[in-house]
Amino acid sequence: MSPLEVIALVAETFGPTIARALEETVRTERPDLLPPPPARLDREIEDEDDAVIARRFGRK
Amino acid sequence: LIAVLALGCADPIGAGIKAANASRVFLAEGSAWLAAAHRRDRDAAVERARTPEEARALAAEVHAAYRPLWDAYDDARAAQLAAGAALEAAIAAEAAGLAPSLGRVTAALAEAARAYAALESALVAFRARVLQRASWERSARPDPVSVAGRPILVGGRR
Repeated sequence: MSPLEVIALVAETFGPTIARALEETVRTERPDLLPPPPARLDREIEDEDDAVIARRFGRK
Repeated sequence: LIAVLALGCADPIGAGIKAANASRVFLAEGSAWLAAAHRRDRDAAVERARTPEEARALAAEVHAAYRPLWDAYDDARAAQLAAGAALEAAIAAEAAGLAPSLGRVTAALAEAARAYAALESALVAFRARVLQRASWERSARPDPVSVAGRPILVGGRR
């Protein structure tokens, strides 16, 4: 299976956004390294609890 | 997937960059998916609660369930950063006319792939636990179909 065939399979499985990014990186002779993935977000999500609970129960 | 992409390129550093980029795209998408699922489950738990105290307790349960996934994500991201550093060192060595350390690049990419596989396993195990819990919850409730003795539409199921 060629890299482009793999991309077609990825597009079918994961959707066009990931497939386009992969296609770009395979077609370019030597691409730049993409930025690193974002840091973990669980602390940020936990910090939202107070606001979510306040919205649900209608107080600040 | 990473191996297939790497095989498609004759330039080992270029192949390494492509493999790392593919992994970074998947990790960024994974982070967005994980954050959306985590927020959705926390919001649903808060919505189910009858008091703010219960909401806080249920939200804490959701956070505890997601923590191992974020730990695995963090490991995969750290391994990916190390692979990026090895690639950047190889690129700099090549630009300076020195022999790049392809062994270091290969080892770092292998570690990144291992951490990525661990993240995938954690996600699969999490999904299995969620499905199992849903199945328990279904079986614990009386089934109105059998109780009533005639077909009733229950949650889209007849």
